[in-house]
Amino acid sequence: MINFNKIILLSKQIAASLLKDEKVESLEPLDLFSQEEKDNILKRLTDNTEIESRLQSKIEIDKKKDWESLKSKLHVPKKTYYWQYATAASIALIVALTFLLNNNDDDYTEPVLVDTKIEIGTDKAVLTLADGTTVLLDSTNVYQGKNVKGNGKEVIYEIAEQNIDELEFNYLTVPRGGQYHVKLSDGTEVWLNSESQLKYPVSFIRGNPREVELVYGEAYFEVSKSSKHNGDAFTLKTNAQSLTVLGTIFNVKAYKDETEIITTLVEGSVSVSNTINEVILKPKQQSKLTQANNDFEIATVEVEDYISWHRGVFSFANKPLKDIMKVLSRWYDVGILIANEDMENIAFTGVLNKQQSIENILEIIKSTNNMNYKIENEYIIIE
Amino acid sequence: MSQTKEVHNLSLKAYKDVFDSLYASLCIFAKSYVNNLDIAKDLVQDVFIKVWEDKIAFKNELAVKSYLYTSVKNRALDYLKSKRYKETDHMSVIELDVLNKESFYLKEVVIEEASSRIEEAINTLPNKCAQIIRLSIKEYSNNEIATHLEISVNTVKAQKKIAYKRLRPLLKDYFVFIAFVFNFSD
Repeated sequence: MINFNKIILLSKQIAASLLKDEKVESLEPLDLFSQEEKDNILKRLTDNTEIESRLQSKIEIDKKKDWESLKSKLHVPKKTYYWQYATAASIALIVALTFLLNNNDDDYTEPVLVDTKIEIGTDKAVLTLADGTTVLLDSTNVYQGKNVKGNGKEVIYEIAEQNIDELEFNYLTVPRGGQYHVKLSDGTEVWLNSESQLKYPVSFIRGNPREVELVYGEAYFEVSKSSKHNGDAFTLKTNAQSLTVLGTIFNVKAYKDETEIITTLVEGSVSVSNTINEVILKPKQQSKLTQANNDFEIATVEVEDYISWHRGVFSFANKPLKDIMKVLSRWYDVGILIANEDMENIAFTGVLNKQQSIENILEIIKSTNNMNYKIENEYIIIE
Repeated sequence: MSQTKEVHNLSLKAYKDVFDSLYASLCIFAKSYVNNLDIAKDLVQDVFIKVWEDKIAFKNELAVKSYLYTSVKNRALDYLKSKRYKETDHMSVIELDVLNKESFYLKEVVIEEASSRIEEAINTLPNKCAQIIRLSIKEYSNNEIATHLEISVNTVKAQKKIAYKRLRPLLKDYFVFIAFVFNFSD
């Protein structure tokens, strides 16, 4: 059997050569691999499509979710688990370091790299085309298709020359830690928040309502007026409600892990309905559909607090800490754990730029409230 | 093998660290066998459960990797031979032969380890640098990178220099071993 150490070293050499833009020499003298296999190794590491497809798989791996599901299957004393985390962290760390660093192999000295740095969110999304192909859109990847163009910030659809008779759907999926902007073929603009998915036709059929679906998550819409489209209304579906407009600006929040759907109207008029009820919103009004009773509660709100995210600002007005943490966890893609339940409903008011580190934000909250926190792995623990 | 079965103090924290650093890589690796990411995830989770339930202890990181890659491979091959798989899909004997080869296994480990290594390194770079290095890996020439990013060739060269400088501590160790020879032994 091959010494596994050599395989790891070989991997590192190849990585180093590619990073330095040098010829990969380490593979050539090996009789371990056939020429075909050697070619395959290099192709998989340098070919655009291959790199994309690996990245796509990585995006589809939800480490946190899978960890939770794995953890639930392990026999661990669950009740004390987080307290172990919080109180015996130093011991755990020593054990972890011993475990990872206790290294007796002669020429191999590197510990498992666990990146604990929490990154600020960026513009990124995955575009799924009608044939199922997926394209990663971020600062380093551009996409150009028929009537569609995607870059580091946004994807733009152009109006098809001819009317079509069958709808073709695309999906735009924004992961945690991401945000993205899309301009649909009718001119409607949508800003998608972290952990959101939008389903929409590449082109709309003239004479039919323009139907778009917020599969999950949060989005801010500036709908192109119906008068520009021979009166064709614009309909937005989410799993539990439907919304019809004739050209307006609004925000819908419908996260999978939240029990309510919140629709905030900025401008114009919308009709929001489910199978039982229907309400009409006026500007500055907000409807809240709770899963519990199927009713729409209507309130007048400070609109800015609900839509500022699409301009890169968090605006919290007297918001409970647990809600704030939910917002932060999506943008910074971190886990949040409120170890001290008394802290959950402590309210905070403030306007914060999204382009700053999460430590900064936590420090600001900490300075105005009696809150303590620490960051461990990719978890923020509120104590 | 270097792992030993004995009662030990593998804390959940240490276990999670291993999961965090290797889970995604193992899933992608498993996918090269079963060609389905969801099944790949299931197989990898099964292996992680076994590590925990059997209280398997490891001497070092290398032993962890070696054990996990081998176990995931074995589980993937078992899956491809299982009834469950054969009911929904099939694979020709020739295809299965390829996947059974030791060199296929080692090749996939090399690809995944090198990929994650490259990613890790690029993630330490400032944005612009990272963008340039990503294109350079995709075999874009300096001129092509310049055109693509709408910057001058000199900027590309300067940024590359910055990148190499920053990556040097990460890279230098491995060049010492360039001329190593594989040892075949039992």
